[in-house]
Amino acid sequence: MTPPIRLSLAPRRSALLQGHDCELDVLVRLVAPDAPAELPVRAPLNLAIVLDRSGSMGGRPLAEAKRCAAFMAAGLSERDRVAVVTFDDTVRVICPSGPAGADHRASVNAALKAVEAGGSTALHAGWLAGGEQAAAHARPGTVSRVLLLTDGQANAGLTDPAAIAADAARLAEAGVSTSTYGLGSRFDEDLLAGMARRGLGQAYYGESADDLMDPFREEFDLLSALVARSVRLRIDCAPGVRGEVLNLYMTDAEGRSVLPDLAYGGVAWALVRLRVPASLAEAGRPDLHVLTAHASYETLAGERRLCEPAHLRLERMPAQAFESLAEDQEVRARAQELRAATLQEQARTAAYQGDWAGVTAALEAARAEAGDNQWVAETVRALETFAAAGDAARFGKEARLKAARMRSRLSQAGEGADWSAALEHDKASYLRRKRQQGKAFFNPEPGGDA
Amino acid sequence: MQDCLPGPGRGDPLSFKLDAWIRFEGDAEALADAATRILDLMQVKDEAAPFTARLVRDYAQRGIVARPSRFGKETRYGFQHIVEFIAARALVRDGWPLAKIAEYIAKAQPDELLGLIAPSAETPAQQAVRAIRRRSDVSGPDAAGLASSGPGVTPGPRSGGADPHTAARSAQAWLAGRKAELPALLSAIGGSATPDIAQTVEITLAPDIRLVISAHRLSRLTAADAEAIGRAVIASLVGAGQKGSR
Repeated sequence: MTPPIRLSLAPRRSALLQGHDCELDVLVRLVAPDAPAELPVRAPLNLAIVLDRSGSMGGRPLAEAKRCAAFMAAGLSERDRVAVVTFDDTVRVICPSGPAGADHRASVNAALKAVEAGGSTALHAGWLAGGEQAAAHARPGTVSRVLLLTDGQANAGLTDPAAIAADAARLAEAGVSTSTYGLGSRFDEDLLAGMARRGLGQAYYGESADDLMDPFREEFDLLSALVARSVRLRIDCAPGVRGEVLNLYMTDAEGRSVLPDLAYGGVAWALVRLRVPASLAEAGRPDLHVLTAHASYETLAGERRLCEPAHLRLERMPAQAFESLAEDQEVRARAQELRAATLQEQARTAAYQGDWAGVTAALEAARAEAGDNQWVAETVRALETFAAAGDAARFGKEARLKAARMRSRLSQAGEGADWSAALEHDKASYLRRKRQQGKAFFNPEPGGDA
Repeated sequence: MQDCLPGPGRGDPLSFKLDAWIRFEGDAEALADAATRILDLMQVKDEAAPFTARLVRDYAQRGIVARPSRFGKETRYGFQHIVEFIAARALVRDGWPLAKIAEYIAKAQPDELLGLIAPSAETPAQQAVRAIRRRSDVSGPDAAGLASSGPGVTPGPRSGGADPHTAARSAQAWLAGRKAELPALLSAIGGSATPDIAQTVEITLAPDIRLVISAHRLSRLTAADAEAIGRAVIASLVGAGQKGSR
């Protein structure tokens, strides 16, 4: 049995400024245990891989997509299930869901070999057929997910991004999540990011076919290392105190935030911005209870567990003592990243409007507000190369999906402002902070498995 | 919110029998009571429950449930009205507008409505897929995207309105499509499994056409299963027929 998930709170500064209205960021963390030397048997995976085979995928993109699908299937065993669906203007279940033993894996490979590029993009119907394959076997204790890969925009069948994302939400609520893989610079990043967000999966993309395997590996690593799913967080503020979760997480029917699934060594987190009125921050009172966090999650066996609730009490300090308090570096870094996410989206809107001065201004603001946060600095640098080339499509994809990542990702315990490729290299793939979301972390050898 | 936790804690829809109401006859109030009781037994939560005679009459007015028969001043509803009413409530909970519900129920086969009411042993995810598909089927041109060729996806050729050349071409394409999907369809209906010959049911459709199916399978058959089997039969007949004509 895995050790329990720990819930903890960290305020940016551990006091309130006496006699003033206070705004205070509090980091709520759900910390997964470190990976044991030998990973326990993971939960059975029930995957449906949905591949776009529309005309534009022809050649290398389709070849690489097929290779990625084959890679996912190769990592599975008799306990897992996999189905493969392709779509252009028609949907084909080229390999119905079956236990992923050697025979079924061989038929997946054979079916993939026969896939050729075709017509337009019935993305919703393709996704739904994948959902149907996984749905029949979506029982408690399995990890059921549709992996949707596309290079284009939905242009046949249901095409409204909001309606498609709502369907992804509905399927996720019923036990089958959706991850999306965009390829190239023509896919609809709002659609794919929206489907993954509401579908409770991951949104990945690769700039080129060479970059596509990296996210598939990452997702496979993540699914293999899961320790807790269906993570829910409720923040109860003390009377008079207002709090807001800044991550833009989905909320469930009870108003709880839906946090990412937790994997070994990861921290699912939410940044709460608290507003405490001056009347509560008056001098001479005992420590003020400002909030209590309640969290629950499901074990891989499908049992619901409650975390020990975490309470935050703060003392009130006069200005001088308050100013001398050190800031918590982890809280500060997460706040900088969320702010950078907002600015990246502003820059993206400007880029699509052709307002490159606006793009520069937003990126400058992100750089300035990020201070010493090296990951944000690297991110801005990567975006500047797209801006310099006047490439709105590529800028938009990187900005949208990096912003989504900064808002909803597993961090590593104690992760602060430092960033370097070497530092990230040693982490589990699903914990890495990439410089550029659409680029493989390692430079893959064309056609190789490195 | 409808409880959709699978597992033993949930009201088992399989054990639920509508049979007790099959000879139902009564006025709007009796129908409202029966429907309330049935949803209660199924452990389905509906915000409009307990239902009222007024709601029943409103649905009859809108054509959502068929007009009741009349005996003088008395109105009589029957079992079919119960089925229509409960199916309509399921669609309301799915977020359908009433006008669409009337349209859907008017066209639906009785089995389809029963499928809505007692969703058999489907997982919540399967129910979600079915609800999404149902909505797409009546939402006009957008449904075109679902006219595709995977198992459980393909609608048959639609009748009426098409230009004859296009119709001939699409009929050919349709035949080719059915042939191509035969392996997947057979696999989708469990074609590789060995049938239990000791317990089969033989249904004679015509003197020279007989359908043989395992009794176990027949007892668990859902509307969707029946549809998939139907399509597999078409595909195999098309395949065998073409071979024979060569």
